[in-house]
Amino acid sequence: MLDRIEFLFGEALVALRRNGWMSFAAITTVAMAVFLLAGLVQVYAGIARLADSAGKRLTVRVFIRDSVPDAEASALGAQIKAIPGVTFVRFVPRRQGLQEFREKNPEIDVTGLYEANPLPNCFHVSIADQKDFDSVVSSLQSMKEVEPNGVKFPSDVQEFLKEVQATVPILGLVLGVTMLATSGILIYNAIRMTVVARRREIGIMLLVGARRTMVWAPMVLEGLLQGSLGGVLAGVTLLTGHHFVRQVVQDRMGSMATIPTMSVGATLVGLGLVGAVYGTVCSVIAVREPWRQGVAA
Amino acid sequence: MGDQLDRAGTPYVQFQGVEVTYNGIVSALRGATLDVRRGEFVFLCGPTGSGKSTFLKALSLQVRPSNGCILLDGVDLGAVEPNEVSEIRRRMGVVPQDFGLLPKKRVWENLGYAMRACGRTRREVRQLVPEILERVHVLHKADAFPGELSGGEQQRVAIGRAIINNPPLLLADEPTGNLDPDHSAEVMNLLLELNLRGTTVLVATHDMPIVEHVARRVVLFEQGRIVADSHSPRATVQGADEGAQAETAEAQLEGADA
Repeated sequence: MLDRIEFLFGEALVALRRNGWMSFAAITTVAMAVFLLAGLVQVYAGIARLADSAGKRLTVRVFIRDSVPDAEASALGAQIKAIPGVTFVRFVPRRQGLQEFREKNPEIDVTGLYEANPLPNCFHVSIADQKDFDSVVSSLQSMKEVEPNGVKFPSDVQEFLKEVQATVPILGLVLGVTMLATSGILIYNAIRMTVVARRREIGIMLLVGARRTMVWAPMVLEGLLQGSLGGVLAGVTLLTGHHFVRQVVQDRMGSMATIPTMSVGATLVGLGLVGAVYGTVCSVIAVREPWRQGVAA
Repeated sequence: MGDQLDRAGTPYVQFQGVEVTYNGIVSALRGATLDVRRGEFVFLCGPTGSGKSTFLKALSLQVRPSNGCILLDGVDLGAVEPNEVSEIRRRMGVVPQDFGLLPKKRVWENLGYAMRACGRTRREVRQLVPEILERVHVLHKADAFPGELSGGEQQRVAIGRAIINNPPLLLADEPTGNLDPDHSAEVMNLLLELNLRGTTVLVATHDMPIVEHVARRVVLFEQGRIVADSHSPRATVQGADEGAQAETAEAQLEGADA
């Protein structure tokens, strides 16, 4: 049995070597497809984590009605701090708000606005947990000192993350599926080329009485090897990329970095298996027809 | 041997009204009927396209008859399931006209590869390949590539590969077609040696000098039909051209019928 398996794998390796560039193309395309799809899962998980943590560190801006005197407005801080879920409150008087606006937008001339500052007094309110977000916002909105629709979230970041969360999977999925289809065609072609190139050989083997499994199994194994090599290559690329990104993020953000480590063994084995299954399916499709016809010499 | 004696009266190969059509248009065999006994040496002669190669292909299950019946040792080949084909083929050795050797494998590897594909172990390959190469007289070329061999040597390797399963039946399609007279005689002697050991041998050929020299049963094909059969294990067709042989064989048949 072991002897037979050794023969089958030996033949598959010979075929893999003989197919040269076709094998290379198939392996690298499988690698790219698996990398895109597996990388996509990683990126998506990363974005989800980022969105989650951004939500947890959410800061809401609360604008106070102009009719409320400045002194009364600043005194509202304690009342806001008392709302359950609020962790931090900072009062930004209208003058300071204008100052900050000027610093952020130096190209806009706001000198004339100091006399009639259009900005309202404002509080920056931090909410620790996303689950408290809605109740805090509604409590703030119900305060009579707060402007109608005067509670603003930093929706730009959230919207951006939402967009990324929506776009990345679609883009990645389209690319990944395209690559997967391409690699499938390449594996199919590589195996069919083997069938054509070895037509005479296959015919002779069948004539001397070789079982069909002994003739076709090496070709299915060739597809399996192409697929698994591609999968492992994708795993190596993904691990390298992940390590690099993690390093950069850690260097820049220090302890704030939240990218978890990836298991080298699980990644390589997992992606290798994914590639192996895919390669096997493609090669089985490729030899199905000549198998049925029994390719004569 | 005892088995052979027991079944001496039963034809080993039987073709009964076999018709083979390629692509539903070209009739390659038109109602071929022939019995071959165990241990016989039969030449299938006739011009190109007369049906002699198709006869061998039908017997080795490379083509399926559209009509008629082929029996091998009493087994109806028409009823053989696809997964049983390999078993049947191990009972016969096929020597193709163009040798069919794998050019990138050495002589011993050509045999070894075929044996491994038939499920033999590496140990069996190591043990049997030298024996077979010795039998076909190319052991001294075991490490050569087919391209380094003469036509006769290549054909002997092809015969060696055909007998890896020690089959009781050997089918050779134009085994001397690409050889000069000396090499042709070498190959034919080898086939006769195998026949002497009890192997039934069917040789498709239009190499008439060899047929005349060897002097065995001659079956003549023409346009897909068997038109003559010397039907004699020691029939001599020396000095006759194909037409004359046909007449001789027909005369023998008529004589037998009468």
